[in-house]
Order: sequence, then structure tokens, then C-alpha cells
Amino acid sequence: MRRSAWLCALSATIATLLASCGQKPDAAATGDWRSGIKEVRMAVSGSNDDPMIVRRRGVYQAHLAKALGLPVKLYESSDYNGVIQALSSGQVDLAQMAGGSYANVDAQVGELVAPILSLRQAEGGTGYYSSIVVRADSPYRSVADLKGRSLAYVDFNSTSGYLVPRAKLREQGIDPDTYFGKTGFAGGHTQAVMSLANGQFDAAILQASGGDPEHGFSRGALHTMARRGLVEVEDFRIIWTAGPIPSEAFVVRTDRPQPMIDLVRGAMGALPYDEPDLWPELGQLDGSAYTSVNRDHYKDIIALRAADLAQRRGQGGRP
Amino acid sequence: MKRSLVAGLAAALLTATGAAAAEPLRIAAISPKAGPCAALGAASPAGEKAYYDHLAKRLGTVVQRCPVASAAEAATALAAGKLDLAVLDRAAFAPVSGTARAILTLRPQGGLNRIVIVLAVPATSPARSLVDLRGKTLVLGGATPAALAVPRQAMADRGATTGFFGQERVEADGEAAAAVLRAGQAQAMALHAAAWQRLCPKVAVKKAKPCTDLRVLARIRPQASQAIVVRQDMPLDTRYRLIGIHMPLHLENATAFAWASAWSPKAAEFEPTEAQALVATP
Repeated sequence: MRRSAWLCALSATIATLLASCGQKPDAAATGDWRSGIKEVRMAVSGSNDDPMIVRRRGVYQAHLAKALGLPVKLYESSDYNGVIQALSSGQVDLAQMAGGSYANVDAQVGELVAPILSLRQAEGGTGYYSSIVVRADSPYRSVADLKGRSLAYVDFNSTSGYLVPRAKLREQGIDPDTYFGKTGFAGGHTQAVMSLANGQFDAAILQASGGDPEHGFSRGALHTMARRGLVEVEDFRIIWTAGPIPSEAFVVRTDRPQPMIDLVRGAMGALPYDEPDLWPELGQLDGSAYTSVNRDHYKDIIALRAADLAQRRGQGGRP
Repeated sequence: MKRSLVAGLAAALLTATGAAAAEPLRIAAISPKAGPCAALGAASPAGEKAYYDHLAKRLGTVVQRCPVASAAEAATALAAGKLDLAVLDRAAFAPVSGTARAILTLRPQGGLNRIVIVLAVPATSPARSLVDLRGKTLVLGGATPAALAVPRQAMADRGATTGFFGQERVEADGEAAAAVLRAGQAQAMALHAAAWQRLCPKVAVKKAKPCTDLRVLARIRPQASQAIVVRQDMPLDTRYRLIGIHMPLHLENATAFAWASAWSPKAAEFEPTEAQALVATP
């Protein structure tokens, strides 16, 4: 009796194992994928002066560390290019970046980096807007009024502050390289607002989100600075918009262990549902949630970036 | 001697297949004939096989099918630790809500996420919950599904069905709705969370009212009708990995997604969800 029980147990074990062979567990997924990984590295950019951004980073860092079971180290960069290069070179494992930056990464390393998450807003949209902003006390009411005037871009690698608005202006028959009297790079959205407020430029191109041109916006550079008490929203006027532009993405190195990628996606995806009161306090659009994306989601931005680079090369690389 | 031989052989085989550390994932399958959890049979449908293979590969574990007679039996087995994952409806979930939790729902094609609705009243209102608003006038702001259908659904899930409110007004947007509320022409206002955030931004706007004259009565989501449910004591690692594997399933494996989402026609994608999504929380 005991002998037959052993044989049954042995047979059952073998049968189970043979049955499982057909499902081919992934080698990286079966073992301890954390083996040999000391930490997960995430690149971030943006102003350390904004308490909400600092807080958001801290929450993401703690949330991911808890989910991954590994320390998460933040690699801070003061500009877009720092994040792009850190991800392209493999110095970091993941980052949050706008479509234009991802397009630059894609041009450098292709499938070695992939977007995995972006935000779906309450109304169902997955994009945000680029806006041309002027001071409310200025006479400018339209782009036509800005002919020969000065315009501040955000950064060459900015999607809403450079790439998309320039393409949209060209579509509307305006050559952004000759139409304005002077253009320049402010270096960031915050700097663009300040250069406008200080009178350095007549207009600035800024990100606007949390709404649409019809209903107004509740997020973006102006609102971020207004929340910090640095400017008043009503001191500025939006005179032009372009979009919607696919929202920024969480991007990962695809040569990292698949369980790590799945954990990042799952943990971040669950955050607005696990912490519904905290979510808007992090500066996120209330009612928004993460949705899965892949490279196709950004193919138009990738094409725009390629076209812009080709044009710049054709004119000697000048901005 | 024989016992150690069997154990040694089993350990060697487990190591060889790479399945040593992982517990099997046991999935409830409504079936006319209940039975023990087991690997999928060779005659299983292609979609089911694709789904199980996808999970097995990504989790690095064996995935087993657990035939159960009904969703209620699946819930009981889940709570008893006899299986790990089940698709439950509200009725099946209710008895196990203390030990189980929802992790994923399905967003329909062209549909919205299960977005948060803000139910607000004047700060001076005596109302303390939705039930106190019976017979009162409700104002909504906007004409989109997010502004109309979702708030109506979220409140209907909590008993405020047709006829609950004395009157329902629909204004053009959140600002217009708030104006009606502030004028005393309505006693409650329901906006989706983004509209509320636009109405009451946390910024130093010169002329905007900071909404200190309004009080949030409830922040609620529409109740899910079905969800993928696991035990509350499932390790965080496993829960997040399951979410992270299911979220992009429609992009990565259409055959597996079609099978896994068959309980909700015209599904677009899996969406993470709160633990009590199947309950109409106050």
C-alpha cells in the first residue's frame, strides 16, 4: 500500500512536470530575477524647486521600491538631453519622458527602449496640448500679431515646447524659422514662463493639459508656477494651441528582466486606484489613470522628429 | 530510502524545468463538471491555451485550470485558498469581500475608465451622504459621457436611480453647474474628477473662487459588474505582476486577450482597479 502510494506520488510529480513543460516558463521569470541587481535606476528631469515634483518623485520612488523589492535610485538631470542619454546608454533602467524625447531615444537605440505606460484622462483622451502664451497686458491676440516678434521655445528636445508647434505652424503656412523676429531656447517650461513674465520674449510656447482649448486647462507650466505662487494664471493669455499630443510615457530598457518590467507596469498602473486621494495631490490629472502603450502610440511623434532633424541637417543644423 | 529517492527525483526534475521556486497559479474556470486543478488538456481551445501559456511564460510558473460549477463556487474556493484567481460578479464577490479583492476590470472599446465622480453640496448643506439628497435637485455639468453617463451610473449603483432626485438639471460645463448650485437652484452637483479639478484648482488664481463654499460629499466610481479577483493576502509581487502582464495583453497577444476578456464583450483593454470595485462603497 505504502509502495503504491509512493509510486502514485512519483507518477503524479512526473505527470505534472511533463504537463508543465508545454507551458515553457521563461527562464528569466522562473529564477530570482533580482539576483545580481543591486538597485533599479530611474532618470528624472524637472525642477527641484517645485515641491510637488519633488514629492511626486519621492512617492514614485517609494512605491516602485516596495513593488520591486529593490532600492530605486533617482538619477536627476537638469535638462531633457540628460535623461535621453542616460536611457540610451543604459545607465538607467527606466524614465518618464515626453514623446519627443522618446523619439530621440528611439532614433538612437530602437527597440532597446520601449514605452509601456501613458495616461488616459477622465474624458478618455490620452494627450495634451502645446500653446503659444503671451502676457495678458500685451496687444497680441493671434499668431498673426506675432509676426516679427520674439518667441521662446522650451528646449530642442521638448515635444510641446518645440517639436509639435513648429510642425503645426508649418502646416498653417508659417515658417517658424523666418516668421518670428527672434527665437531662442528658454531651457525649460519654468524658464519659458519667466522669460515671458520678465519681458525677455513677446511669446512663449508652453505645455497645457488637464483640459482642452474649448474647456480650458487645469495643468501645465502656467498652473504649476501659479500653484507655487510664482505667477498668476490671469496675467497670461493663450492665443494658439496645437494638439492633442500623445502624453508622456514611462519608458523602460527592454534588455532588463521581464518580471521587472511587468512589476513597474503593474505597480504604476495600480497607483491611482490604490491611492486615489494621493493621486491628484501629486499633481496628476484627477480621474486619470495609466494605460498600456507601445511604440505605435508615438509613431507620429517619431516621424515628426525625424523630419525635423532632416530639415535641420539640410540647413546646417541651425535652430 | 524510497521516500528520499522520490523526493530527490522530484527535486531534480523541478530544478531541470526551472519551476522549483514558483507555486502554480490556479485559475477558476466555470465548467459543467467541477474537479481538481490541473494543467490544460490537449484539446483546450486555442485562446485558452494562448492565455495560459502567456501567463506561465511571464510568471515563470505552472498555470492550472480549476473547474468550478459557478462563480459562487469559484469565490468560495478562492477564499479557501484552493485557487488563486477568478472572474467574479458582484453577487459572487459579496460573501468573500473580506478576504478577496478585485485587481482588474475591462474597459470597453470607446469607453472610459471607471473614473472618479465628485458629488458636492454647498458647505452649509445639512446633507451628509447621498441618501440625504433624495428628492433634491441635482445639477450636472457637460454633455459628454464623462459628465453625464458616468455620474448617473455611479449614483444609480448606490441607489439613486431614476426618480431619486426631485429634479436633474444639465448645464453646459462645471462652471455653469457650480453657478446653479451656488445660486441655490440645485442642492447637489456631480462632476467627474477632472471637471472638479478645473473648477477648483489648487492655484493662486486672482478671481476664481477657491471652492471653500462647497463641500465634497463623496468621491465614488461606478461599480464594476465583473472583475478579476484574487485573495487579499496574495503577495504584492504576484499581484503587481499579474496587473502588469494583463494591462498590455491586447497589444502583445490578441488571441490570449480575446479569451481572457470574453466575459465582457467588446473589451478594449484590462484596467487596474481598486480592491472593492465590485462593491458600491459609500
